[in-house]
Amino acid sequence: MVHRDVISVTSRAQKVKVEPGAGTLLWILQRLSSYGLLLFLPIHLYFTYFTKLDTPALTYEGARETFRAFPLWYVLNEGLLLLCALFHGLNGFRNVIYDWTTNSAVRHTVNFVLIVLGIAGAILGFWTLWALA
Amino acid sequence: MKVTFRVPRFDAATDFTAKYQIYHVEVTPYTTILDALNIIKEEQDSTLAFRRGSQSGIDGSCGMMVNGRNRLASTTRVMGLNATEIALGPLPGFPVIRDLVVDFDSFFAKDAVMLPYLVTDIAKPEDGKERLQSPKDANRIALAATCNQCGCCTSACPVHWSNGEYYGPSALTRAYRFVEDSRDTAIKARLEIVGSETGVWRCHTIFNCSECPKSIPNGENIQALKRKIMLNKIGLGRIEVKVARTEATV
Amino acid sequence: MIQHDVIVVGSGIAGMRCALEIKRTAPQANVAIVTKQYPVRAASVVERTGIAAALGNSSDDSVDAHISDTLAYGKSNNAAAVKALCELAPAAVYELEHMGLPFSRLKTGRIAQQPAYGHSQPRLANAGDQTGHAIVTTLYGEVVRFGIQVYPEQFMLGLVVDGKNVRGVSVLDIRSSEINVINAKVTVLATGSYGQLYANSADSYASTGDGHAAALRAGINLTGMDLVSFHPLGVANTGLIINERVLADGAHLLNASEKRFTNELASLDVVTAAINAEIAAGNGVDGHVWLDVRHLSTSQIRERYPHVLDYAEDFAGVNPKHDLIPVKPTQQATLGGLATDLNGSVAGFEGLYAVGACANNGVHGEQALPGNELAAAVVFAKLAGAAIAAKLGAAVYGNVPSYATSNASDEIEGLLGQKGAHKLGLVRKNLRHAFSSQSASNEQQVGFVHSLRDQFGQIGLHDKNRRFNTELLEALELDRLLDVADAVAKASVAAL
Repeated sequence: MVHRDVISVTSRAQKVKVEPGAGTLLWILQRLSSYGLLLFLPIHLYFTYFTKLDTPALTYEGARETFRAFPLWYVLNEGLLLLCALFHGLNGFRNVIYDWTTNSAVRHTVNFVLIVLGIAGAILGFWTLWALA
Repeated sequence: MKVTFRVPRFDAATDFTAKYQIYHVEVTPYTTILDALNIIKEEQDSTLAFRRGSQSGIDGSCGMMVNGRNRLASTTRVMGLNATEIALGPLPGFPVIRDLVVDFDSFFAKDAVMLPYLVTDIAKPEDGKERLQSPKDANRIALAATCNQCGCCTSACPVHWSNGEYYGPSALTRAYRFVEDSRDTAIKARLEIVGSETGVWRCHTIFNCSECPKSIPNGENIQALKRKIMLNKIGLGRIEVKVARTEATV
Repeated sequence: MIQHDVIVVGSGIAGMRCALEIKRTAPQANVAIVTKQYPVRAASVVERTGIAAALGNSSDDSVDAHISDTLAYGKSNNAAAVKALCELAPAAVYELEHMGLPFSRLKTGRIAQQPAYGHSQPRLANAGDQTGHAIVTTLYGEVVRFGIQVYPEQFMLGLVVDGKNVRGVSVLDIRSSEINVINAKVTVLATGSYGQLYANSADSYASTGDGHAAALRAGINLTGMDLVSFHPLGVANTGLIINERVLADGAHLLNASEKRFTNELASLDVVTAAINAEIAAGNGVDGHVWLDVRHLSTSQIRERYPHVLDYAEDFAGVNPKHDLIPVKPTQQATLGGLATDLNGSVAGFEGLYAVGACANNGVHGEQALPGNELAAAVVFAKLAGAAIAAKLGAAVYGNVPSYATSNASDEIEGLLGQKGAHKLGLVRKNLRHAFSSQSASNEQQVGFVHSLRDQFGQIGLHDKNRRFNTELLEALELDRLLDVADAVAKASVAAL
């Protein structure tokens, strides 16, 4: 049931939206991804700046060097960080849109665009990781 | 003491923006905002429109914005504000009908969708007497049950300003009062309603709503509902256990 | 024209309980409630103390004890009504509990019962100190559950009467000033008290005796209009009542020189009279005296009468631990109303019932025992609902006389067109000051009400807007209040 009619208590008939959605799951994932960011981001910074390898960190060579030093941990951390950051950011944007409009056409369009952006971002990121290897 | 009141005059049928009117009122230490409005209406300008009710803050008719905060006019003393100029306004976020009177229709419609009545599988005692409830369980809902639906919380919520379909803290506190009631067993149905897209997930913990004339922590109640929905979703909701515990403690 | 099988005027405890009972016993009945506020704002919320019922949870209480307490307090009660009230009150309270009312509880899980003035046993079932509010909210929830139609913010202009038959009511939509006639097989008046007649009143601004005036205008006699009770401990300037238990617990009353002037443990009438005498003798402060609770422990206050703290802070700006609280006698309850039998039926008129504070079946006698008003509202509204539901099958819609609408619109247009010199607010203020516990003699009141009635004919209305015109609303209320005032003054003279 999307709408409930309330006629009994107000002077004019009212419609109230009761639209079941993915709110609960997304909220749980938003919290989990925030913990993920807390955990993976410092490790990422450590990998990037404090591994004390010879090459400058913010270059392709630098990243490859770090990857070669800790192949498993690097892929695991950077992959999970990518997923958490993508989800956290895009879902945050979705929340802003959902707070702002109740128009379901807009909401569906935004959902579609954000999912496409998320998948594209993930492919790009994992492709880069693959390229490092 | 003479206090200046700045009151917006607005009629939704004819006006596009509000015009502000200035009134000067002589107040005593006991004069409330509502008393001052009554003085204005009696002696200076009988066309000023505002709602008034129980004069004790228990029915919630007279919610309005007083110097930038939502308060009940009947329980706010003018001198308690420590100001000689007081700006009044209608509750923000609701359609204004006229002057300080706003339209509560959608507000009460949302409240009615929250199933604001007891739904329970627990049979009535065979002797026809009361269902038992421990004082502890009674206290859990005592504060939330004092909500007088003045609308101060829902009106203070920025999410409600931008998205009028958000149920708002008042309706959600109403749901909370029944979810927390040890006699109620329709928790699943209630959580489904408050967990819908226009429900608790629209709350971003701004906590404007916790500044309540009845001291109800509306914001915290919404977070409690979120936790309950989440625990229920991942299978840790102890709905059946809750009922059993009440019977055991009694 | 709108048609409903039953139209209930008023969304207070009695009105909603009656509508619910009809809907429960006759589910196909088309019941509607019309109210001049929103239902949850009903004036019943001001009843704070508790609802009296001999549950026997806190002591070895019995229905007989409740009956004898009520008779001893009210003196001239209708014994049959008292018997019905006291016998049915426990079931009524259990029913409210089954609806989910958040009662305060004992350790055993049963409903707690508070002692109260005039009761030989602890007997008041309460929900914190907001019992009236809790009952209203709970009944409102049931109204939502049963899908009973509510028309909020509609002012009842009068009963639609055809001979001795009541055909419904005419109402004014406050938002648009439109007039509607609601045609009904049965009309129930549940409009509450006329407390706003008094300068210091614990009642809501909405308690203007609209139902009483509608009855008077339809030629229905009111009884017991002089039965108005006063309470000694109204917070000065608002009239909100501090629970008299503070006196029993040792609070003191002080005059301007901060000296005690009376025995606080005497009966409430005696204390009220003593305060009035002290103020009249010039020993008050701005027309009030002081209540001293400084020597009571804060935890005791918080536990037994927490509203003392709120009231002192909200309305007087004082901390009761360090300061004195200004109090003066205040109107507490009005008992007069339409004479009804125990089923709420008004004799001599077909299709008219009255419940709650606007009905008078004599259950309270001369003064209402604390908590009995709430109990009577619930118990007799339920009886009325059951009686109406039983009769509804045979009832038919009567014709609405054509003058119903034109009379109503004449009244509105007449008021809106008034351009006199007298100020509405001032007339209202003068009327209310003529009625208080310190008021002048009753003969003077009759004449004074007459002169105010003349002044009312010459008031000017400045607000010509038809959208939420609160000045028009106030004028309509004052018009009705003047009729009630006349009835009260005359009844007081007759009672001497």
